[in-house]
Amino acid sequence: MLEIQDLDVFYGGTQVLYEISLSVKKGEIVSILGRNGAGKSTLLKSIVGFVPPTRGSIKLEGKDIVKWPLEKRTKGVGYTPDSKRLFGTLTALENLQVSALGSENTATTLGNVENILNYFTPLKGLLNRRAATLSGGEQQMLALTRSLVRNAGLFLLDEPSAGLAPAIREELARAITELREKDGSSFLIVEQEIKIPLSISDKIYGLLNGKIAFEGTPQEAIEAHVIEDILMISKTL
Amino acid sequence: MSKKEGLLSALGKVNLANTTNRSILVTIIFLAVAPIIIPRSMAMDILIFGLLALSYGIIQGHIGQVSFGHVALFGAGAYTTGMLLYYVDIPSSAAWIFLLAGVAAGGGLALGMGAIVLRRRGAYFALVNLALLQMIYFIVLQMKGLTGGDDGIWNIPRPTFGAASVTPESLYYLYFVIFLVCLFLIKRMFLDSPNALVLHAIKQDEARAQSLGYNVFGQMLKAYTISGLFAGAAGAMYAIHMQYIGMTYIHWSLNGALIIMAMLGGVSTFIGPLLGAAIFLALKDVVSMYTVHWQLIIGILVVVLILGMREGILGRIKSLRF
Repeated sequence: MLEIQDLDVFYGGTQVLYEISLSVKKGEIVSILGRNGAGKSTLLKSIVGFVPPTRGSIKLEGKDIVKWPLEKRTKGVGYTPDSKRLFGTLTALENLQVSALGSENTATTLGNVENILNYFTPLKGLLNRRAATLSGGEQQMLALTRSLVRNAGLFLLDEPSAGLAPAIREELARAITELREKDGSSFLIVEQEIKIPLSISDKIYGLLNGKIAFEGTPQEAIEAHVIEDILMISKTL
Repeated sequence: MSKKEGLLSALGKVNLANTTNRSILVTIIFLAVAPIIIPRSMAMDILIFGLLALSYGIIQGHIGQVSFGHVALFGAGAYTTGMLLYYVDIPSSAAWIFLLAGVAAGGGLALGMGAIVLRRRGAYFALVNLALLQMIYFIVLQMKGLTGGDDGIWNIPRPTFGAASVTPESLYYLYFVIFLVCLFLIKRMFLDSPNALVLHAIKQDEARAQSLGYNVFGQMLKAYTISGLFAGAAGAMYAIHMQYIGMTYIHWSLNGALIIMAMLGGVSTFIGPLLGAAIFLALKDVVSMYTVHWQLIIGILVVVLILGMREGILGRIKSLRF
């Protein structure tokens, strides 16, 4: 589904990502763990097209998308950025409509709304509220719904559990695994929080200072004490 | 209706401004009786410049950019229709077709200009528009043999209804009908359609809209071109009404007045630019009866507006009510 080879990314003169190679197979849930500033969000931005790489290839279903315009890359992708970036003056419902209209299949996407809202039930009563007036957690639920309703082959989620109440985090994990079962969708998840990634991922990558420091299953990550010793992420997060 | 049907039907509908229907109704009633209650020439100006202001409202209100070149599109409509009527010899009752040529000219120029100006935002967008307007201004000035240059073209023949010539009343009501059609088309395209929602989202956060799969440039170019069609229509109507085309139509100062009209009424509201045009033209007409310094009054008004009511008069009224 997604194949990244030897990716170098710079912000101005500063190199942020070094020779990143990773793959996400169809129907796979892959998580990238790392501390603040490790380059996790940059990696997703690079895939989406906000930050062009200086070297390396990004292949989506076998096609190199590095030179594709942003909107072409994102047509069949469900991307939730870290900063939510909702359309504040539009209502929650309108935010979902905008997402559906930009997706590959608007009707199917709209049809998915009811289903996805069943995971984020608190949002159901807030659909006519302007997005800017929602609380942080509600906005995060809306941002996730906006991505997850898209009938995407690949979902890129940047810190999806940030700001969510524990019960909603569990619903999020359920949504991800059920979407994978139902549609065969693939997920690339970037997180500082380790609980969800360790419980649902097929594969874990550890990112440290812009380099891949670990690759393996969640079980291997736990056994190798990757989280605290290599990635230096506190388990209490 | 079950809850599910309710949600699905809500998802299928777009209505960004469900509060504008009342103001649209008031506008239509006012314009229908305007020639009776105010001088007809002023009513005609309100109709034509109101349409121009509405077309400009698309640029500032829906694309979210200030343009100093919008009257180029108005001029394209006016000069195309005016010159065709003046130079091309066809039966006068068939000459209404040239009105459509003016509309097409406005849209065509907008497509070309948009492809250039929409590569920049903010002050750069405004200035590239101005630069193109100035280029067009000097081209029209230089092509004196065709355009009349500084003198413009006078005594442009008006189309007729069969054998009957067009009376000022019938021209007003013909324009009123054209205006209504334009008004509903603009409302449909920029308030009540999925496209409207997309533009609204792009205006707020271009990068985010792009990451949802939208071709931002393409969407903006579409809106800019549609705006040009309506600006061209206003220009074509003005050329027929005045039976004259001249350099003032494409002078930057008219563009300045246009921006003031739109902001006076409120670009964030649908009818705002039209209301602003009406107030601006009425003020100009009334104040200039007493003093030649009418622009001073307009100037004071603009300062008060910017300091006290940034969202324009209609925007202010709405924010008070809701």
